[in-house]
Amino acid sequence: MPVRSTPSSRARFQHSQLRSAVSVSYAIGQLPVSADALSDLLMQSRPQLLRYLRGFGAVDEAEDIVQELWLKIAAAAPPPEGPSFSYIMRMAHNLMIDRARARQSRRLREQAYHQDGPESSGEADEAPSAERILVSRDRLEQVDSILRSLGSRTELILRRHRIDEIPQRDIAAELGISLSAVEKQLQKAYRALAGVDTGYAKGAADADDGLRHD
Amino acid sequence: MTEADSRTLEALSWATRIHDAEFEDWEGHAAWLEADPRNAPAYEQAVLLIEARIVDVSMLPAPPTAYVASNDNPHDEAVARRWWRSTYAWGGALAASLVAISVVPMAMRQSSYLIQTKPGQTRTLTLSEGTSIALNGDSAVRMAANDSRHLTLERGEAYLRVTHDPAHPFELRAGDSVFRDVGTSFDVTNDLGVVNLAVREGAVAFDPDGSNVVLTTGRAILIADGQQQIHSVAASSIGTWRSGRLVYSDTPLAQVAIDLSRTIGEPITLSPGLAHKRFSGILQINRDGEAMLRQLAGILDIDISHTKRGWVFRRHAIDR
Repeated sequence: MPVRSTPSSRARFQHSQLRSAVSVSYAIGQLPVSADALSDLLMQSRPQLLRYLRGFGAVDEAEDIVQELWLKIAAAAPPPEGPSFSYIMRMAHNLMIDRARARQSRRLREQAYHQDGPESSGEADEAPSAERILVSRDRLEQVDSILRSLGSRTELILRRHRIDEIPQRDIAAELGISLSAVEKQLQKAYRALAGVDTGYAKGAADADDGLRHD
Repeated sequence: MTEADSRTLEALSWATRIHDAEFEDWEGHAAWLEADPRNAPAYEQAVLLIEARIVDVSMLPAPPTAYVASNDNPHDEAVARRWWRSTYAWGGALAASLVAISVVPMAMRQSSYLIQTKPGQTRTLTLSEGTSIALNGDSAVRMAANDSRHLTLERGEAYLRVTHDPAHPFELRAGDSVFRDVGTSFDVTNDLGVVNLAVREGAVAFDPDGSNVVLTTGRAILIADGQQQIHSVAASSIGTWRSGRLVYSDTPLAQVAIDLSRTIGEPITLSPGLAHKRFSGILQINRDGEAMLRQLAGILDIDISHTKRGWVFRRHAIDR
């Protein structure tokens, strides 16, 4: 390990860390993809990754996030069809959403603290990875009436895709409709749930979730 | 339509497309994000908002009409039947035989809310009066629409921290059992009608209007086949699954298998004779479920194999 860590030496160190992480994960798996193929893919995807992350607003941290992503991908069990450019980009996407979610949780906790005082921020969380969801009866009723207004077909497609996690293509096959029809139904559901068409739910929803941008 | 609304619509459109596993137009998404600095925050907002709303949707019972095909075609009927929650095999139980269970969605809407998790998934929720419920994998809790002080653990495992309110005692049903408490922390499991409740803090009354057995810290009650058994449990080991630790003291492997199954998200089947083998120790759940199971197999000196229907534990060939 270098005594003074310059950017290039840091990159080299992390790359060697990557190689050893990759060789460990492939030693216990039974995958046809070689360790070299994966790191080649990561190297090639690097410029697009950086661009994508910057598009999300990560300017200074983009390089660090790419490193984090490399290690995550190397350590994770690769998908059955092998890692691909799309797989890497999706992991980058999910990482950025995770960060946005963490920012939102922080904001909500701070809000609760300021509104209701120190005793409201709850006991120390023994399971830090658990989600805390405030169940508000009003909001559940609102969502319920939105679902009713969407109709059973749209609700079915929404549940099938988002809760049962069936790909859109398979839902289209199941129902004997086109892929674009499924997508349109989902868009319709999303708009209704986001309160865009009606407008009335949006204000309440924003206040509820602390999604208002400061 | 305002500019903000049209940006939200675009964001929602990207959110729909990207959520599908087959999405590949990352180039297009990158270009859209770059087109305006307000697009990225709008996209993040859209994704998180839909996520939150889907959680709400999952808490509402799905009306059966939503799952019925639009015509009477037998193929569609078969497809519709598949949409009910899938069945899978439980390993162990107390009879050490394969048991198939299926969960049937509720027919009524809005009389109650069902909150459930998939195998391997955990969720914590806080009710508006402060009670918190941590749900382990493959678990379901039902809450009355107008009364959050009455819950039913339909299956699986929940750890509850109930807020103190003597005017409104909290009541939990699991299987045929009723428990009441005023303000406690406890863990309860319901596996095919076998119910176990262990009190970490405070006091819980079992069968409050009947035998009224009061359980305090470190006491647990097991109800199976109409019989009840009170036993002691290390209070600090109750509910540790929330931080990924399973603590066992001379526990039958059948129970260990049920708990592990909830956590790793796959069924575990035990060969006959292994169900009653005892285990003492602490299992630390980590992301690598397979490595953990293999380690356990080493400690217990048994064979394990992974099949399409989950994991199978059996004695070594020479022992059979």
